[in-house]
Amino acid sequence: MPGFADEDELYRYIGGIFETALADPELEPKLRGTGLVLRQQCTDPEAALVIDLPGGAVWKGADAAAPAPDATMTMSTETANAYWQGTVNLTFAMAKGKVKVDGTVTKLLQLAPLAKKLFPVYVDRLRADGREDLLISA
Amino acid sequence: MTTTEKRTHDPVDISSLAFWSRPPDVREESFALLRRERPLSWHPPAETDLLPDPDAPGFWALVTHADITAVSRDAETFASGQQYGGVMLEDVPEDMLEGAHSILAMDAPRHHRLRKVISSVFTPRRVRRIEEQIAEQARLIVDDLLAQPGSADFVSAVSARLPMWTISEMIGIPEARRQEVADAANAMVAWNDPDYIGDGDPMAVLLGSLMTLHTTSFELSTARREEPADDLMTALVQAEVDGDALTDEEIAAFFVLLCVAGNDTTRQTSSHAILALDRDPGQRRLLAAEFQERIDPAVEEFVRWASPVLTFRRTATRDTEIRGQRIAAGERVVMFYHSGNRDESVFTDPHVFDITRTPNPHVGFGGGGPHFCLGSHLARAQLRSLFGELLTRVPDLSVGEPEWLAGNFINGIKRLPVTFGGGS
Repeated sequence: MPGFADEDELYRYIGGIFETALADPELEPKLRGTGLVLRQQCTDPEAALVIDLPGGAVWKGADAAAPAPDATMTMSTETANAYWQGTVNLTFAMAKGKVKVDGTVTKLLQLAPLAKKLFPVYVDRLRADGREDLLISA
Repeated sequence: MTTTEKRTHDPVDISSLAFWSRPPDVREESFALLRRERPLSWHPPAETDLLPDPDAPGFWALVTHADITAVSRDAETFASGQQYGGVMLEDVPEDMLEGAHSILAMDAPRHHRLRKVISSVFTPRRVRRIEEQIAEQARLIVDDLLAQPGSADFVSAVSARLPMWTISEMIGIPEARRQEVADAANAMVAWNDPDYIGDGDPMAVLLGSLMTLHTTSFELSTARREEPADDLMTALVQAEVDGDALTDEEIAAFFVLLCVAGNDTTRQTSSHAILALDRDPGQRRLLAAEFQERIDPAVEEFVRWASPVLTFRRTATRDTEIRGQRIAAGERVVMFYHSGNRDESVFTDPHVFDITRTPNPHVGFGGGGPHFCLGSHLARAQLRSLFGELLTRVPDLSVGEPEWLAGNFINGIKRLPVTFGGGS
């Protein structure tokens, strides 16, 4: 399975999901309401994002101005790509050690019903960008 | 699906956590009122800290025996599948449904095929084969009880041990892991209880338990693939459903279901039954005096009385009617088994514990249909053996006050002090 080439790609695609979702009048208040600042820490290659839902902003991991996270999800870029397409079960992935979570897992799981609405946003973005190589067939 | 109809909430509270923190006989007063005056009623969504959602829909409460059995048996109209959000009164994240509920949150045809993989292990014939083993386990548990100095917590010393032992042997869980697995299975049904929440929160209770159970399952399935044994885990790794082997994840979800269903039901029934026998010495003497003749109907009364599973939800797949009331496609109906088992139109004197009750068409194993309890024969065998040992070998067992488990899923007793042999 493919992953991302670098932090710029991670920012463009995973960050892009949230930029689109935060511009959605229905999703925006719900996402902000979660109060969750999530750091998506990736390996292979090393890259990170900070998704600040209450603040309505997405930061590159290297950005010193990024806020401190409530939860950090660590996974490979390959798993991150699959996760945001809705093909990774968080509980199984954690038990198998594919995803490691530090901080509040509760808020992360509570994000799940909203995250489900984001998966198609991500898939559309990949298609629009001609990134069929990143698409996972269900 | 159309779920937009405006409904008025019934004034009787069966949704709040405060309600589900009360003892079962106090809760029953509310259900008795509903059965008598409004046998089908619409309620606000269950209060929950798992996935609090201000837009969550309400539910129809099924409190009568007739409605519970009718809905259980019409699984086409009243579905359980993950796409409908599963079967819990409270909403659970989808990842958790997939990770823990297996065939509980599944509909035909997949439900039927997957259930078949293990149903052969639970037939009366197979259970008769392991009955000797269960009897031996029950004997050793009572040996251990009697080795204690005259007092014990009945739950940890007796009720919890036999189910854990039996299901662990059947699945093939190594001895060193059994207590850890049973504790995790136990916490899986206790997410609303302050003892289990501690400094954390209900979701953390569930997730922590799930991690323990999944990790154990992954280890076991790997081990059985390499070296098959004569147990359920081997049956699961060797099974083919729709031409495909089950994935590690499907097996792990099944494992969680088996551990929870195997540990947390008979455990509760045993505690409720010993409490009921203690409070009604006449019933206890009757059973002890003619044990062989009386134990089979007594076991059915134990299960009716305990109603260890309190609730399961279904979702209407199409517009339909119950009691002339229109139920819209997508609306939730919740079966309250303890209430169905106290239905005055089916059971004479339902609030009386009567081991001679026949017939006893209780819904303690469910109301029939495709999701009927797979382990009912096993549970009966366990209860027969355990109470045979207890009534003959600990005739002076005296039961103190129970500590009730808070929550809307399992009718639980956390602790139950007992004394015997002149102990205090």
